[in-house]
Amino acid sequence: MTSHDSDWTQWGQLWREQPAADPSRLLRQVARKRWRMRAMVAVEALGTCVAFVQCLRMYDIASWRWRAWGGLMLLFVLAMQALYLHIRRGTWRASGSDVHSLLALTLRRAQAGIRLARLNLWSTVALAAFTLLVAWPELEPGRWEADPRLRLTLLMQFVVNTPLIVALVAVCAWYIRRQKARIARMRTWLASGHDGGEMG
Amino acid sequence: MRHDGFDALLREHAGLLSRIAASYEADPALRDDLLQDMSLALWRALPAWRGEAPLRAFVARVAHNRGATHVLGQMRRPAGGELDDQVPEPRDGPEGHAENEQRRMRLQAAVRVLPLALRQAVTLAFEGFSHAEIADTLGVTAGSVSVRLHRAKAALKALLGEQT
Repeated sequence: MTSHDSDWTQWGQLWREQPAADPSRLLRQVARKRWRMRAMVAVEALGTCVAFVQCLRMYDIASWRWRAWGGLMLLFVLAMQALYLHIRRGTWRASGSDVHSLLALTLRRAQAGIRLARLNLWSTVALAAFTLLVAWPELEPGRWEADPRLRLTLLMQFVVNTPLIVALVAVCAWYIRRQKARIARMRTWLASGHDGGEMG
Repeated sequence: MRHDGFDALLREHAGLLSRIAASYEADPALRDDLLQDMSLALWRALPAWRGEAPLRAFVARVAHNRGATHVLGQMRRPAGGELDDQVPEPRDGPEGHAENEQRRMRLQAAVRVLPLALRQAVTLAFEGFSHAEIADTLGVTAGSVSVRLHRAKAALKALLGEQT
């Protein structure tokens, strides 16, 4: 046995002697995470249902303009879902199960993530502009100055929606920047055939 | 297989997963998170396992993929080229166990300093995987595995020096 082989054997033995995680504790942690994931999906589904019901309620309580807005919002939600699915094509499954294929899949997912973030960004801007256009008659000072209830409604809409839109734009911009940096690193690594490249 | 099978699988491979997680993350809290993510990824991937590869290789593949995406997800580039100053130097003396522990920590730190491609190959080799199994897990040729392991040996030698 050469000294090189001896080093290798010694390192391997040393490596395998590392203390392992407590499997029972790990199982409990994983079970908790699984429940959190399920709860998240349930909350998202609930949010969609609430938005859907709110759009339907528009038909009973609002003027024809807001009923039209509600109908268009339903179409908008459906169109967005279709676009999400379209953008995510090819990002569900890797071509193989080796690390290289799975990283290529991660790259495609990051690219799709950027497209989704851009879609969210621009659709939010378009939605806000369209809503302002529909709300134009209510926004005339003569209307809301004379109607305290309308004034309160507009104020509430402004107070609730403005921070949400600003936060969404900031999160999308941050996400896009982060994914771009990640893609650059992955491309370098994949292009080098990950053969001892400098990726840490 | 979904629950009982997964629990048994996790119990059986907790050591392998812990060691792979240790090769990607030095911070104990983050390593714990990574280990949980690896276990979850395994839980999701398990139904896709058809027995075409040994289960141990499948576990290592899923764990390495999760580990690699963990590294790629980090914005900052991990420090490379030198070992962490906080890793203690092994001492002479009768405390064999403590010295062994220090050597293990130095080896762990040295493996983490290796470029990702070398790190993946070397951790699998340490676990006793053959070149063919490593090639299959990483999606590269057996020749490439040999090159990586050769480079990894040289790098580890340089990093650990006479302390091995």
